[in-house]
Amino acid sequence: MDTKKIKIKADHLSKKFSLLPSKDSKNKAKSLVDMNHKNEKDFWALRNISFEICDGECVGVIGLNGAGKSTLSNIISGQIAQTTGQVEINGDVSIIAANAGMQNNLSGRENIRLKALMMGMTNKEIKEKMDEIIEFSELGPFIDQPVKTYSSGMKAKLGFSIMVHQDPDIMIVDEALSVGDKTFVDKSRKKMLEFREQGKTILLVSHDMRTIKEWSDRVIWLNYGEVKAYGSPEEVIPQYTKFANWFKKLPKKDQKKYKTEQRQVQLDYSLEKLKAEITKAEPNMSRRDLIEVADGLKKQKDNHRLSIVSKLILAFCTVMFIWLSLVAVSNATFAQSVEHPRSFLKQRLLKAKPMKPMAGRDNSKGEKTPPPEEDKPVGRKKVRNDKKKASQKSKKSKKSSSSERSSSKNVVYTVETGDSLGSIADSYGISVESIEEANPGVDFSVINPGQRIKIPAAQNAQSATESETTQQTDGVSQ
Amino acid sequence: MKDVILYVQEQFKYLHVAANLSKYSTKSTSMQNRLGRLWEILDPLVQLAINYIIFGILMHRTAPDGLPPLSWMFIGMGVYSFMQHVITTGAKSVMKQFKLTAKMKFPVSIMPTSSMIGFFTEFFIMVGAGLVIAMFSGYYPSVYWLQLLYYLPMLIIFSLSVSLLCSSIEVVFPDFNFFLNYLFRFLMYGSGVIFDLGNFAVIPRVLLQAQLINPFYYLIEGFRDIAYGRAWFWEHGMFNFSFWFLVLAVLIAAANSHMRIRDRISDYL
Repeated sequence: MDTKKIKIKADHLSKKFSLLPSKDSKNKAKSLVDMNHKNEKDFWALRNISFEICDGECVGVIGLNGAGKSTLSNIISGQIAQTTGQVEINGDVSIIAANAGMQNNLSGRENIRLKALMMGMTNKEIKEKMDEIIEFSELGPFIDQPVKTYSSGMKAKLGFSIMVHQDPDIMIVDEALSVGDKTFVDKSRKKMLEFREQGKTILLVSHDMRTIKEWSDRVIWLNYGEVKAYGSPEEVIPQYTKFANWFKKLPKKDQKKYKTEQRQVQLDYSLEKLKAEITKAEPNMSRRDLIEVADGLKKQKDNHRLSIVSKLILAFCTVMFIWLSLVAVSNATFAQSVEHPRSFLKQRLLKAKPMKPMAGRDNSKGEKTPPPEEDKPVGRKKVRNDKKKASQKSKKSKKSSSSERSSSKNVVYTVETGDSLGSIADSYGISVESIEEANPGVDFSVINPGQRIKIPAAQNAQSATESETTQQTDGVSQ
Repeated sequence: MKDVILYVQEQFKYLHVAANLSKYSTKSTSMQNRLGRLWEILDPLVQLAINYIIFGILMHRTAPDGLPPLSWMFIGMGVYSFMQHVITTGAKSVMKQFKLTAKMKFPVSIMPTSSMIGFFTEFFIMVGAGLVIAMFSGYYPSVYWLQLLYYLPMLIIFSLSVSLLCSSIEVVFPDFNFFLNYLFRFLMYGSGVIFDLGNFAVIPRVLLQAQLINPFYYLIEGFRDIAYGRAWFWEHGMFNFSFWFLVLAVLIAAANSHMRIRDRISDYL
């Protein structure tokens, strides 16, 4: 039996919670971006805890309410990260609390499936174990009823059954058995003893001294975040009972005083104190060890502060994105905006891109893959194709295709699918305003296919280019 | 950066758990309905039909540049509803898992991935249908289809990181859920999903030319580029960079805030 493997090893473990004056969105947001140091009060739920648990051991965790028992079990199960110190866990951890993790709307059977999936079991394994779990839980016909109709005893039974069939290496039992009846507790006890013989580690969190005495090999007594005693149940439990009785007999006022005092200690605790405690405990540590300890403390596990590099990358990306957005709503290219940032910000913002293709999508692809011919009037084909070339993909970068424009009389154009007012205007080399002028009384906020629009003929090729150049220079857009 | 790496590692390590979870959740939801899993296919098709009747037939809203409108809409809707579903349900699932504080053996960060896997069916049906219908109009598979290898990962990365960020915001600001819904309702019309914004003369050209800065529009147009063989993604020039910068920024912020919240969840609930 001396070839015992260490299953759980905690080394100078401590956990800090921040107490916000009120948990509103503002405070939460502040602490999320590390801006809440003034408001935050640190509360040390666990302080400098070290212990080792080997396989085949059953360890009881006792203490008053608020002693940090649940925090400890949550850290061991990997639910939350510790602030400082190391926790070494070899094996799968499974935790069972009275009704934790049950979905009230689902039936017992579905809950079994869900929990098993969450534990990483495959569907095949679940199918194999399902009957066994149901059998063990003694729920019988109730297994297909929603869990919200269960009594607390039934819930505990179900939770326990699911857990023991997961075959974990380390089990944490958090007050789960106190609700079961005698027969079920006996059955579970048998199962747990079985586990112990298989060399599994059990961590028992309970207020029930009888259970602890019966099952545990060793007991950890937590008192307001500190280990008060750690040893065999024969030693620790009498001490604890003595303490509990003493505490119970205190007058109400003194009880309260004791509690506030202890809490104050937890609030006043700090990393420096932790460091001092560690050095005091091991006075003959070498200098190097000391530095190591200090470094270890600096690296807080649950503090994900952004490193400088990440911050820089984040800032760079954000700035670049904003800059590119500005470039996108200007008539400049990216290179131009960098070269002349002042004139870019002052003059070129919020102006449409000139007609020739710019930094955005270019138009050359349009010719490569001509869309298949649709049935359309032959007469308009030329214009249509021309327009297609011009307005391929998006309206923002148009080719000035106004060179060969028929400067004839008033033309009536029938809107086709996919046209926009801008594209029509472009294909004729005229401005949108002139179309609007030529069609009084027509609402151009929306145009529909089949709608007939008069195209003003007064514009000839020259004036078209003129209007374009004006657009380019003073940025008149539609 | 460390958090981003951790996040990505977790995604790959727990991919099979995510797949299992997703299988379970689709099964349990579909069991409640008579038609079962058929709804996964029917639901998007019905939605599409409604939109087509309203915008395609009644309002003559059609695709730009003479592209076949039906497939144009199919692809837009497919890509968009994928992003919408992944982001909203992903954010919700992380939140739910945080509140449940169930003991489980996988990191919460895979919840969006898990819900995403479920939405792939719908996505492939709609985009696949769009591609097939495009073939009827003469747009056959071309080398441009290779771009799927670019746009699909981009779609996944973008959706996942935004959903992670939204989940973190929701922890801090629970009402964000509503804003998210409104935002998606608006973006549906604002990202050229069912009609092209170029149809409206009211919208200034300045905004139309900047549409690609909108990551949703960027991805939707990307998939349309694939279908119609219009352009390679690098032809979008600076808009590629703006998209990458945005995704990287979101990913860093999302991963960091997620890890923060996860390790100190009791400080936030």
